[in-house]
Amino acid sequence: MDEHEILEVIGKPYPKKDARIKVTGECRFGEDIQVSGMLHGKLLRSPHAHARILSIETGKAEKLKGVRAIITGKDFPGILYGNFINTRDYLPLAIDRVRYIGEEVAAVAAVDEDTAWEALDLIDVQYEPLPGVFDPEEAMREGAPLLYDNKPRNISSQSVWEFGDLEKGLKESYLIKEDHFQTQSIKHGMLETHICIGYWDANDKITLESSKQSPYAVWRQLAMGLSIPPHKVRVKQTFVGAGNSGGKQEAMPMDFAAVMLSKKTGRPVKIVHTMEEVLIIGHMRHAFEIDLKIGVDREGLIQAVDFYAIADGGAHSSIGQLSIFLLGNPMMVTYKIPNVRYRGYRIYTNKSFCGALRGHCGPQAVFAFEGLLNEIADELGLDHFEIRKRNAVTPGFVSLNDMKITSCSFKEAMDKARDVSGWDKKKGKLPKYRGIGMGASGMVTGSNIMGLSNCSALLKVQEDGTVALQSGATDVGQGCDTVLPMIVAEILGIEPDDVSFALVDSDLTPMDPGTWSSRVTFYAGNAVKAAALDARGQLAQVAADILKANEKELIFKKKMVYPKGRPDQGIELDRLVRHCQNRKGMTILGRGYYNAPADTLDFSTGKGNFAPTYSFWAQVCEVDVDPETGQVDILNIWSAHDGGRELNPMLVRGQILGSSVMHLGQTLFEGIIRDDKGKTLNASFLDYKMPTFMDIPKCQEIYSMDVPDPEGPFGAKEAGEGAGNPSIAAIANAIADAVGYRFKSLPITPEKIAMAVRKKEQREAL
Amino acid sequence: MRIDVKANFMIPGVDRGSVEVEENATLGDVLTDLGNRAKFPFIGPDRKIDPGVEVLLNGLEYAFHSKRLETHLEENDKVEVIILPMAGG
Amino acid sequence: MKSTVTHPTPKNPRSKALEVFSAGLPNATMRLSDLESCLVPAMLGEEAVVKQEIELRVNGQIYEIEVPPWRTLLEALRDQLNLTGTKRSCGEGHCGACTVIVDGKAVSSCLMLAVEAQGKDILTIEALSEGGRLHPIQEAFVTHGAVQCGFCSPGMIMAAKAFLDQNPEPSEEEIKKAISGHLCRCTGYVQVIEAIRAAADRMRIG
Repeated sequence: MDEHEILEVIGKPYPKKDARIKVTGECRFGEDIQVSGMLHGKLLRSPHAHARILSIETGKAEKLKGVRAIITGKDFPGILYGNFINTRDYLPLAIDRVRYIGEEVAAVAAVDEDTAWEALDLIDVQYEPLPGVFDPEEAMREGAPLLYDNKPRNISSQSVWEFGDLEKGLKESYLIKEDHFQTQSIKHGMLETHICIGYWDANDKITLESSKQSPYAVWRQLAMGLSIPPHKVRVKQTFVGAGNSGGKQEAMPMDFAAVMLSKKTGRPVKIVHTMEEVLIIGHMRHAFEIDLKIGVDREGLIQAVDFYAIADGGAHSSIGQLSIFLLGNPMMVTYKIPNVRYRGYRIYTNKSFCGALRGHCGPQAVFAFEGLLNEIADELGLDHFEIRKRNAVTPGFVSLNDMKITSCSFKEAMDKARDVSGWDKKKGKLPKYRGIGMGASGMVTGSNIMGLSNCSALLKVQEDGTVALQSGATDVGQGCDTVLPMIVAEILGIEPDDVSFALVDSDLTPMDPGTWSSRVTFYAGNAVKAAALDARGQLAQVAADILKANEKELIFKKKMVYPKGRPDQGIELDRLVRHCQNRKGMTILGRGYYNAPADTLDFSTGKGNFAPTYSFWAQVCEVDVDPETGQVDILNIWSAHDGGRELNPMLVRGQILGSSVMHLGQTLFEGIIRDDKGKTLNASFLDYKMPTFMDIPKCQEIYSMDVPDPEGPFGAKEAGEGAGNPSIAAIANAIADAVGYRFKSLPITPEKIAMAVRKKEQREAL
Repeated sequence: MRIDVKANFMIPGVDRGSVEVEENATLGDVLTDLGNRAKFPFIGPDRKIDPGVEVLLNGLEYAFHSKRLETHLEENDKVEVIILPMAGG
Repeated sequence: MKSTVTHPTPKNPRSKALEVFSAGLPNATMRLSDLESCLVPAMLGEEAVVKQEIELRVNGQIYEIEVPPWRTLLEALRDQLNLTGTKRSCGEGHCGACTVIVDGKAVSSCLMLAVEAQGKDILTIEALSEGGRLHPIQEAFVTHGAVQCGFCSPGMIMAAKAFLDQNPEPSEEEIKKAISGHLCRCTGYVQVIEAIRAAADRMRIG
């Protein structure tokens, strides 16, 4: 290999750039920021699941010493904000109606938090309770209380599409299996709650400093809800203490409240949510009731799929229109399906609402599909891997709804997972109550969503040969603050430490959709790569002149610029930059944007290749189940993936481990628990149980196919969400293998397992 | 006269991708009608199309037609309305 | 399992203080005057906010501050001493993010009242690195991918330090148990365990 083709930076496990300031505690997260003169805000929440607001009396609260301002919904223009224009239903603060327990009704700014809390107790809200509806099936019935008058049957949004001929496909199936699956709502679980500091200045310029992973989405939504032009809004992200999507992806009532309270008081206003608030309010994973039917021929080749789902969406639509579509998508990019019908309905209920959460409906869809596929395989006597390999998508495949598979090492990943897990030695041969199971799935590498698709980067090459990089991409812990500088470093021949990475500021950093849909490495990476190449081109042009060499033959390596083959006849990068600056008056500014080769999604037909490429995942899980207690011990998870080239293996590993562990929580014990009147019962980490150190598998092995993708920056695809897609399925399938009973509702708690074992033993005794 | 309508979401009453409109209907008239069917307005009070929606007339962004919303339509003209998932502001 | 009652409007600070106080009581060594100063305001009306002057010894320095009796050590450290390295997350002692070291033991600072912390040696994350040089645990967290969003890191590092100072040669199981009170949503824990093991090795070498 040409020594110049050897990558110096890409592929190395560089430590995360901001890790040092985080381990010393000096990294300032949102709540750590103090602004002189700032006031503290708190939000008053509805105790009713559904009620009309008759009046709000703030007089008594205003008189409390230390209170500076109180606002209600009437202080805002009354314009609905949110995502899709046809489903937007957020208001900064409720005006005449509340639709779930915890909905924001008023906000207070005071000299300290204690006073603000106290003031909330003194605000008198008169409600007229309305009948509420808490179950999606009931909500859809005629005569059920409507949450929104213009949404009959409480249908928040739907996604209905059909390709091929379902009836024919089913008729031609040798074997048809159908079943019902249930999945629960889980919360994002980030340790940093929500925080914002709002400031409305004398120029009517609004600044929101906030823990947001998609600052530009927030920028837009703030402008929308305040009815002001976006250029009057400045959103500055703080370091994000994890997000996984949700409230950190959107403008929240707290953001509106902070800026409006600032307008009223002339002071910056900081609002911080408690963890209790986070667990009570909206933003969580959708709960689904899934009816799935799969028909296969004698060889196990899928002939037809009928997928029906009801999503319990809660009181607001959020990004739900996209969510209800996405539930039907993973199967289309995992298996070759010739006839399919998908019907998904997202229903409003008087509960805290649902939206996007890492994986965005993928893990739930895969749980159902992989479970039913195993039933089919077992009945046909087909090995679980074999049936999947027969149906797996391949390079060049185009699904019925136009998903175009480009790079694809799916089968190789499955082979690897089978091999390293010792599948053949174990399946069917393990001791009783020990089981092995697998799950597999494709995953989008970044959705190209119209309206928030442009992705750009700017960089300055500085006179000491370092780079100041600005992109609109937000690090939430996944490591783009490191990977994007690594790309720049590779192209300019410098070190990642030589590249600074700016926090997103809508006044300064270029636009980017944000951190979601596993898009950052791919999209922002390509934009950053383009910007770096642009800068390199400018430098090369000048260097070619000085060095009397061909521009295209110049190498940028080890902080030198030299003609290929003549490393001793080059110039130091920093000297070159200074030459440009001092002699030519040139500042080297690199500019780049990335337009992914993807289509617009047509929500009415379900068609449109909305991602430029797809990653593929195969996981095997081995478990030990205690038949008496129902306790599940996860012995090992083997994960083999086609995520393209790993730009930073240590960070990729972190993503995969994190995603698997997160999803074992949803599989085994996690979930929001409510009473039948919509009240959240486990609004504390004591009762909202997330995986701990003691829950992790004894061992986790990760294998990358490491096949570069032609479109990805240096061949990368994604790793942030794909690992989680098959995790629930793999663990659930392993439990089914161990216990001899398939659990179709999540979480698969010890109680469910113990009861099933008992019942099974009773039946066997008869 | 018949106008082809394509949208990336469901519009009630748009049968087989077309609607019947008055002979001298403008683009604005058609969009108002479609908005009524879809139960949310595409055109704001300032006679501008909401930033959360993209409208193409015969394949061209509506703003590039010199008469914009006042453009008179002809038989079989194609109107495309696209809702943007995350936009508007 | 303790049943929790949730309120849509989080509680008045005084009632919250009594809860915190009684949660901390089994471990508290309080002076009678501190006890009184906690109970008296609860019995007085809204107008009486009795602040107490206390002395806290944090990271080897003495700080004199004024606190209402319900102020937790976490709040005092962050809001009054501006030592924001210790993080506030669940605020109820379930996540470990607020861990500091008090008299050599890892403590959830959200469960300790500031008045309770008088007369004790308090160590926060800010004291760990010296002159820009990271403590081996901090260094290991950086190099082993144990830091993603980093919000839980200070708490974990302090707990790891308190543990390794007493147990320089722990097994992996012992590490897991010692730090099991710390929640992390990002890392999936594996790289954290690897970091602590590496730190233990490095600390033994000296």
